[in-house]
Amino acid sequence: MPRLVCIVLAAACMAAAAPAFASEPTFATTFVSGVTPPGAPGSDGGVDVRGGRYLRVTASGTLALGYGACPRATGPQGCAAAFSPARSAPAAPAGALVAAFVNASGALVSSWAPVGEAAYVAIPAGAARVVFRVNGATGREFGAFHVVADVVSERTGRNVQGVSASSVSPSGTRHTQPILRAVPTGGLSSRADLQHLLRRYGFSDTPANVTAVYRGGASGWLAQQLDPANIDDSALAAYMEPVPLAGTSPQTMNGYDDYRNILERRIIQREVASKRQLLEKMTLHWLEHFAVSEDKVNSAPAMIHYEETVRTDALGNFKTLVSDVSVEPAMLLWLDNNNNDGSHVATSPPNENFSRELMQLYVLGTTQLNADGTPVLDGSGNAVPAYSDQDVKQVAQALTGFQRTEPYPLPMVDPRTIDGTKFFPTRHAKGPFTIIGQTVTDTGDPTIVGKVVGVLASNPATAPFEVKELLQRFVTESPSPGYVSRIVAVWNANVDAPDQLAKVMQAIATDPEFYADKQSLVKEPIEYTIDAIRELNGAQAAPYTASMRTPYNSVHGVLSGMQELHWYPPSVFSFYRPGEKESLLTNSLLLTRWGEAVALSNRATTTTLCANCDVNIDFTSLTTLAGGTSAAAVTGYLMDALADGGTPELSALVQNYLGNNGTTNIKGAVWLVLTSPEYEVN
Amino acid sequence: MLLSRRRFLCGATASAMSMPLFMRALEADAATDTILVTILQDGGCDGFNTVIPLAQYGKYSDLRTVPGGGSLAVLDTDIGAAGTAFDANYLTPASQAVTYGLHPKMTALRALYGQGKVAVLMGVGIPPADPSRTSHEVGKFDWATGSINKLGYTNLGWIGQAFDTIGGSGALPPSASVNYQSPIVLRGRTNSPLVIGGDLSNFTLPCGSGGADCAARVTALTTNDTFPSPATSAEFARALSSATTSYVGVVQQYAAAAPGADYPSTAGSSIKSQLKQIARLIAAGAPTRAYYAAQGGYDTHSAQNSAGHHPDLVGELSDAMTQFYTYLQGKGLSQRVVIMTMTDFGRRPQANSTAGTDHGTASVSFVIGDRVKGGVYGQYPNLSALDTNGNVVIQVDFRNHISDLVAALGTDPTPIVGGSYPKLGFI
Repeated sequence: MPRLVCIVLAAACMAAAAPAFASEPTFATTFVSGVTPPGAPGSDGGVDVRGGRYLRVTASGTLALGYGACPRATGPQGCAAAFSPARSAPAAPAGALVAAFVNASGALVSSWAPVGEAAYVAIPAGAARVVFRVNGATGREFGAFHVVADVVSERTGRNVQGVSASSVSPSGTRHTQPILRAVPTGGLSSRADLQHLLRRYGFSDTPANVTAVYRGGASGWLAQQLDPANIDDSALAAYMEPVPLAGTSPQTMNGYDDYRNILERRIIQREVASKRQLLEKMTLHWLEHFAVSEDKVNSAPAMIHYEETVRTDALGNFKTLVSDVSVEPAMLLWLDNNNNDGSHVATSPPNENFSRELMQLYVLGTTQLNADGTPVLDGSGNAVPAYSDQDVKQVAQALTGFQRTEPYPLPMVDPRTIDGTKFFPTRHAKGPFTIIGQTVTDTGDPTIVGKVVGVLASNPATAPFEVKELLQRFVTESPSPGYVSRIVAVWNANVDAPDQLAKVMQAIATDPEFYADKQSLVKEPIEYTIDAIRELNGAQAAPYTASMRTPYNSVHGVLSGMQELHWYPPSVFSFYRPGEKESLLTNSLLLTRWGEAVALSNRATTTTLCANCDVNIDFTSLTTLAGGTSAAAVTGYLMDALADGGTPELSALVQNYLGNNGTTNIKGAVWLVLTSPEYEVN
Repeated sequence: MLLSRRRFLCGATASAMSMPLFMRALEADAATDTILVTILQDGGCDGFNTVIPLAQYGKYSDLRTVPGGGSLAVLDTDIGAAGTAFDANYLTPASQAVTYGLHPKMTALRALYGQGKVAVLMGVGIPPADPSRTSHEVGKFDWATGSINKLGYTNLGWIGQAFDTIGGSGALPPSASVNYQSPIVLRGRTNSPLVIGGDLSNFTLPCGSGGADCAARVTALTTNDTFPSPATSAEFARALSSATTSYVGVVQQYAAAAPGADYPSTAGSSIKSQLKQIARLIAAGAPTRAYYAAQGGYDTHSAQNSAGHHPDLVGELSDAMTQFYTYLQGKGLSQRVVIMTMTDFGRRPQANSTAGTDHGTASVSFVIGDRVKGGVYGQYPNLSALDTNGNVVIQVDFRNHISDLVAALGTDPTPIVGGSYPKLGFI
């Protein structure tokens, strides 16, 4: 399949699929977040204000004049100037963003009022949520706002609900950063337990940082990680390449290389340097759960938007996550739901690709499950299917009518602010539908997604299916039925909570069984690589600059060699199936790892740091940390950093290899630890 | 399951270590047993556009119409022009055949069929007893284990289980995969496959810049593998590491003995390259008796007939299998080798609204080789008698198919497929 399709072609395709330019749809004034009904697609449900007395909203974003002003003949590049955000401002223009309070039924209990500076507003009686609306003046605005709503009990008091951030875009895409509450957890008994936690809930850390966390208490670390919005991660930005603007050519998005490399490097940069380690690990989990390959999607804006959606919802609410992902342009393209026509179902059945995987892989699995994850059996001892082929057809019909319609030409904006999905009622198969025995009503609008997801997510198989997969990825390939049921109870108790997944992850890590099966999972190549870099304190020599041409390119190469580029899962089944991590190790793949370990260990340097390299592993400072350059000191440090202390036998081998000079053969010593069976697992 | 895999890995290493290499090579040279090459058409190959039912062409053509415009039907005139029509009697010339048509891109396979080297199994699939048979995961899993395996009772493949009984000999496991992955079909209780990826020359120990340092690294690495492991998974990794280092030298010997310089070009084709590596190992006298290769891309939910999709894939597969067979024939080895194709499931006869086809039931399987009795086996599904889901009724139970292949490997298939089936007679 050709992977390099230039932007001109992509734009041409969009032009062909989209309505004529003269009647380009306008993208403003109509979107209202959170009204009718809250939580449904097309609205973000707003922000829950119950329990609070005051609301303080701060908003930033851009509102740009779009369309009409750009002659089509000038093409995407020519339009870039016309689209430069003439009306953008760091803060929303006065009146561009308005807010109102609604009650639990979604009815307004206040009038719409402009969102001003960060002032406290009293929450009226009966208010359940605050919702937002873009109030464009001309009907031709586009843009997006990042909204942070603090719900507090006193004007200067502590948060009642924590912090919520909501991104409101005029045409309907929204992301709610859920309220994440930090809850104390039990202390850990050993440093090994802590290293286990840091490896499973993040990409490990240096010995020094492990010590620091240990002194500060694991429970504090976990509580922080469960509430990523409250972790100051501002330092990360300096080390990351800027996100490429949507309207730039995919071949040279940053002036010299292909956007695919940028996407991969950016996520590597996050995993290495973000303080929100659990958020990154959860993002990886969902990117593998909803495995989408750029190879087929072939659109930078779509992939960037998709990643942002997954990260935003990664520790939030499962139904929100599934609903959001379902209508992502990348997902529409990936599983053929784009342009899926339901207008003539009898003679022209809709494509069932997304429908089937939505049920089988994304939400509930093939067979009915008990709450402890064991299969439901019929009288003959056979498993019972969770859904039938008729259900696949019904869901396929219900989800027709969506189309990826990124604006043409692509504006010069952050792709994460583009809403690229529209719903066309004329191409939608009108319900009602019968899905796994339940009737789903249909009002012929995008709310159908939330209804379908709601029915699937309420299936008894869903919680054990999802929980088991989380346990298999984060804890053990064979979780006990008891463990599954305990976490399923937490899942179900929080099924509508905006921080459902954070609560689930908290319950998983505070369960005694979390520590029962340490070093039992084969590392996937991403973990193999990122863990090593973090454990050895690998870093860029300096913050990113435009002259730094290939930041993280060598890590990109390492992951490519080990066949686990984030954006190229081989199929919808991702790189491995849950519970099958051992499938990541075969004779051939092991040799590949050892080869890439050469590249990784060669980043270890005892001399000058490479200014433009993605990763330097600075052994001049590591030997200082190790307490000397002797073979014994360096070996001890490597064992502690990479292998939980290692085995006496491995220590002896590495020390022997290093001879009497701890630094001469440092690359080989790192390679020996990276290729050891001890390092293959976490 | 995992435990038994681990146990095997240790065992294999021990036996590989205990026998001098030259003795094992002699043993392999003397072997005359069937070598089975399985090819997975990954994603669910559309059997109706692979073998076109000329005898039901009107109904076929109706079902393949894309209501929005266009058609997925392969034109009978194209089949005529390509000369890929065939009848059950393989001696019937293509110009006179009226019953079936291979896809017009499969001219190479049609030529082999005319020589009586190809069995075409019609309507092969998983019976309705598995209600989840239209899922990729379930379909592949059933095909890999040779059983309706709804509860995942076994993760052992039918080939792996066959070698649990037959055993292996030589410095390598009895089976090998050449696409990086360790497929379930090759996993047994007491054996698991050698796994190679890319060209055989890649299967080496990478250890840095070479020289004395490289040797020192390899010595330390292999020494560490002899120590006990502290954790369960590390034990698995250690056994694998140890087995891998022992296989490297053996594979390199075979690679050097059969560099494959005379093999036809495999440029731009993964499946051709995979089959070439297999041909090299067979030509070098490797003791391996079953191989696995895979070709992806068959999950054609949309734009099925566009470039790079189904038509090109079956054309590529036809060329790949034919050049593989012809190469081995030239080496005097084709009488030992049997190639078979399998796929997750067949596809829906009716085209969907995005010019593709959705998951269905029966597909077609090819079995190729000198030991194969060429011709047609099973009945082509009746396109006028679809089930309530719009799928055809399967004509050959996949377990029956597998049963005959296990028997050809030299062991009783009954315990593996969970029953006894009448011989289809293609081998």
